[in-house]
Amino acid sequence: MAAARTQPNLIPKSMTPERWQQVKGLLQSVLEQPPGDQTAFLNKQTDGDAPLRLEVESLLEFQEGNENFIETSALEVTARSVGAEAQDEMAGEQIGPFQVEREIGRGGMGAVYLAQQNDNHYQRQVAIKIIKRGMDSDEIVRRFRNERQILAHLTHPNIAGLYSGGTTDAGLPFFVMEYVEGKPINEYCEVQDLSIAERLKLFRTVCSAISYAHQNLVIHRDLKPSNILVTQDGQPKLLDFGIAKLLKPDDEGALTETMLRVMTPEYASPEQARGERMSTASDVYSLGVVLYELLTGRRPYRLKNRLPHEIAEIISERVPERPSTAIGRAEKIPEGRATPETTSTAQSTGKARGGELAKLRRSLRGDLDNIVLMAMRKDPARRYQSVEQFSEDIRRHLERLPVRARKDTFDYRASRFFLRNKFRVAAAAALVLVLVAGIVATRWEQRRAERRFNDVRALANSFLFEFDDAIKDLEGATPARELIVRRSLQYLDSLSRESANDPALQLELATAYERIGSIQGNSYYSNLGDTEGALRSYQTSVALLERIAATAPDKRTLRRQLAASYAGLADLMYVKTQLPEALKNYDKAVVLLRGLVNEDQANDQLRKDLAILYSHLGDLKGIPGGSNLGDTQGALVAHRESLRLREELAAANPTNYEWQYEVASGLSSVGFLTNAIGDTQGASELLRRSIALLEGLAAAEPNNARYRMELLTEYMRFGSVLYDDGQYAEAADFTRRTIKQLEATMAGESKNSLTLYNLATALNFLGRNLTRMGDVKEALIAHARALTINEKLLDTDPTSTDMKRSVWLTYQRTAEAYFAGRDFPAALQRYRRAVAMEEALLAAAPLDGQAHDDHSIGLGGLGLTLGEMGDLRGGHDALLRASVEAEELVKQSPSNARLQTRLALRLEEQGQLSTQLAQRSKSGEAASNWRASRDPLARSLEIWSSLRDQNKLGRLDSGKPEEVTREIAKCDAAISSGPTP
Amino acid sequence: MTSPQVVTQLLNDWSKGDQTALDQLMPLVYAELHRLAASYLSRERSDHTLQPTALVNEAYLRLIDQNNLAWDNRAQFFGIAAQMMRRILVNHARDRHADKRGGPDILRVSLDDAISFFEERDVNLVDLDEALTRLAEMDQRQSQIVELRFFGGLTIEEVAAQLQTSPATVKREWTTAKLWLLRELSRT
Repeated sequence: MAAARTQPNLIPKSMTPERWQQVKGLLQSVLEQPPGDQTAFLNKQTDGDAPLRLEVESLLEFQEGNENFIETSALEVTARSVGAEAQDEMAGEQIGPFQVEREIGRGGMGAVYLAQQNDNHYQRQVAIKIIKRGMDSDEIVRRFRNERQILAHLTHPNIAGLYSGGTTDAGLPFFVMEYVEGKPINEYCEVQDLSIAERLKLFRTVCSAISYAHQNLVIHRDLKPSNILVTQDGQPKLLDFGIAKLLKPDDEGALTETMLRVMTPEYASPEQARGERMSTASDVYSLGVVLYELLTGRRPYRLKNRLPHEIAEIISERVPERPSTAIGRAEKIPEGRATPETTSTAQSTGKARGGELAKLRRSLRGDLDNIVLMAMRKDPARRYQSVEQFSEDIRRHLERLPVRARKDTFDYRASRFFLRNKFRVAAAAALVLVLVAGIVATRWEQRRAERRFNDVRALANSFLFEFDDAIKDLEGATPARELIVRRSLQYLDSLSRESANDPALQLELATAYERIGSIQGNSYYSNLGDTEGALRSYQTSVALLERIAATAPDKRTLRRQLAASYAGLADLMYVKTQLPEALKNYDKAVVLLRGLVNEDQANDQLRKDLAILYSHLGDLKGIPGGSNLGDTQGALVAHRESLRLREELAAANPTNYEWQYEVASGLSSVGFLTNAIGDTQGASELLRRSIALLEGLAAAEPNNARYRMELLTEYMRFGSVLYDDGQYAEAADFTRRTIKQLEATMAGESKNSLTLYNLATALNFLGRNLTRMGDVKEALIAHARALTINEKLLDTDPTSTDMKRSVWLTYQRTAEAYFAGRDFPAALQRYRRAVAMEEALLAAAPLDGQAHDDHSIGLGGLGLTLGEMGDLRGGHDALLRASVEAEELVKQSPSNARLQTRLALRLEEQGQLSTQLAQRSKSGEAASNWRASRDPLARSLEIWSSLRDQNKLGRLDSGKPEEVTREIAKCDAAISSGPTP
Repeated sequence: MTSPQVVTQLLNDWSKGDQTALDQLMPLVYAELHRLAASYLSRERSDHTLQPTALVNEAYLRLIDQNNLAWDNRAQFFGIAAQMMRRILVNHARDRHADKRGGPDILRVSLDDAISFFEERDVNLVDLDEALTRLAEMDQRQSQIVELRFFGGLTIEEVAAQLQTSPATVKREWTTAKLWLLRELSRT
């Protein structure tokens, strides 16, 4: 029936009494039928009288809502609230030691009475605020008990003290406060005829009191003139500090009618009006409104008699008139319905300040306009960062110094996206600092501490998880992230000491430690480069989790977090080249996560986690270019599994950029490994697909630094495939573009180690291509730049293997350039440094396949250089060591064509030096020297031939089998010709 | 203290058509209801229940000169209390929207509360009042039933007694009147 609901608007508003009798009579008989029979009955009764049927039908449609409609009588409702109010009138009553004298105010939240305290301790007048019935008394009293300690400690000459509180005999909450005899600040300014400068000075005193409260972690939340009284001797006193929070602590939910009556919407900040979390910036806003009113005699908006959502909209959207313009309006200040505040007119304001309107306007125009409007900005992060800053700007204005506030133009707003992010970052970081500093630095009583503990826990978690997520891809976020990590660790450490018996909290803490670890130094994420700190955080997380897991091994959230922490720990161990330990932790994580995925096939996030885990495992097993276990085939299997999962997820979520990103990086890894096994064609195809995806993403989200960085990494990888294919000029071109983009990124970001690392890598790669192209001079310039960067990076993180490897690469490539330029002493010096660097790495991680590979390459270059410089024996020995090491690597990873190529090269070089030795040796030693040359050459040929058979011979090496065959033939000839007699 | 004679006289005047009498009556009756409501509530603080008719009844006993035979009509007093309630609330709701204050000042917060109570339930008292006036043009008695029930707080049985008809009839009239009013209030 509801589907075909008649539009009531189409039915005439009234009918003749006779018609109504007819309609009503039929309606009543229809209603007497069982609900299922009503339609049929009606149709039968109105056979042929469609208008009558429609009329009755349109009424029947309201049956559902009719049951409760106006069943509670207006008399009862009114009597109840009249009664409640009457009952709460306390004049003449005794509340504990307080004798209530008279009512001195009444507002939305209740009434305020003047009372006399007469007991052993005090003989004084106090103000008692009794919260009216209808507010959640129990909650208020509970919150008051939690808050009273901090509120009682808020002692400042301009803040009315809170003495005590409790509940009346009738069960109503009350607060006992210092009795302040004074006038609301706006009224006081009028009556006293204060000049603008005097008003500003008075206002600054108010600011100092609020600033003091903020330092003590109390936000007022309800600043308005009626809460700022000025005594006869001109001292402002702030009332009701912290009371608003007691009445409504959560800031959640949008404005309701009830709330509107409790607060005065004209002074509410946009975030408050929308029911969002409030902060010190909310007080800055309300103060801005108060100042607006003090200067202009007007409030910025007319909000009376508006619906809650309209109020929220106006406060959030409408730009207030500039004070210098507003002062001209001869309009009365709208009165708050619940707070009978004094009103003033622009006229009287003008007169009171002893100036004509034009003069007043001039004095407001410029600085004061900007100052007031800056405090009232919609975005809390763009207001003054503190009340103190606000007050300071007023002081600067009074002393005719330049002020901080600027006109908030549209251009400014539109063009400052980037800057705004920075503001957001700084403001949020400042808030974390204030909150966390609060718990760490102060020692309040236990209950207080517990409450804050929960607050801070919730907030810090939200910052760790949501905030870092939100800013981690923004450029310029690094200092804020560092600050967050530092503060968060301080508080986490103190929490974990105190919470050993709370498994839920321990799980939460473990999660937080894991998250901090990844921000500190997980090289798979944009991180802060502190691997030592990260390792500690991960280990703490795993230790906490394993302890809880012992008691509840089946819990899913626990297993999931444990998997995440194992994976994070493994990532870190991998970074620190504790490779077998890393493998162990990855395996633990894979087992847990695979179990979770099997139990919950539809969970995309779990599958994504598993996909990422597989790719990390693959990297560890054998991705070229980083530390690995040398298992190229294992790496390819793991990465293909990861790519398969990613492609499934992307297919299921076609509009989600993140999955596409994951597919792109999966393609890249598989492509890179495909290149490693010698399939250049397959590799470039995979990498091209990856680059196409990433270019699309970077275009769609130009501010996402991660997309851009990954794209650059892809360019680099593609460049290296081109290099391996002998296309040096193209590779160099690609690399120059990459470098240009990296340098552009650096403009906004100097401390992100990932960017710097990538830049150094790109420079080295450019140099390598230039060397190949014969431009040694340019190559050396690129390598020198890379070295400067690398040394700086190693300085900030001296234990990082990645950084050491990057330094190695720079030495190696520099040496190769000098070698190509035939400056052998310079080459020798660089090769020696390169080899020494790798030996240091191997001492720390003897099983690191990449270190062995690099060491072998370095030794090879060293050997060749020595040979060129005439030290044939020394050169041969170095090359022998290099080929032995390379042979080991090939054994571990028989399918890796790159490793085989390098082994074949080292063997050939070794054979060549050996040949030279044979040529120069005395006749008696020549035969054995020729034979010693033949063996490595023969092994080299074996490898080249096998590579050719598998179609994995690079373009550069295409002539190698023949070349080596000729060299072998030379040996054979020398051997068979026998020693010359 | 209000003299019962004064109240009775005003009621008489008003029932004879003197509209100014009601203006003088309202605060008096209200003050009494106010006082009574307070004492009721404090007596029954445990559950805050309140029987509106008992309240009006007591106000009647207190306010009306029981010896004045011209005004010995308890039923009429209920009718007046209902009309008064209607007028006060609707005026206050209307003034609130017209940016003016209505009603005796001491009651402002209570009236706001009551109006909000209905607004939160999607009942706009001004619209309801206008619809009720239109209903009276079609069916005077039905409109009166709604007034007594809703504004006067009478039960079905009390209305039936008041109008000297059967509770079943009152119930039928009440139900159909509400359907019609609901449809009217849903007009946009």
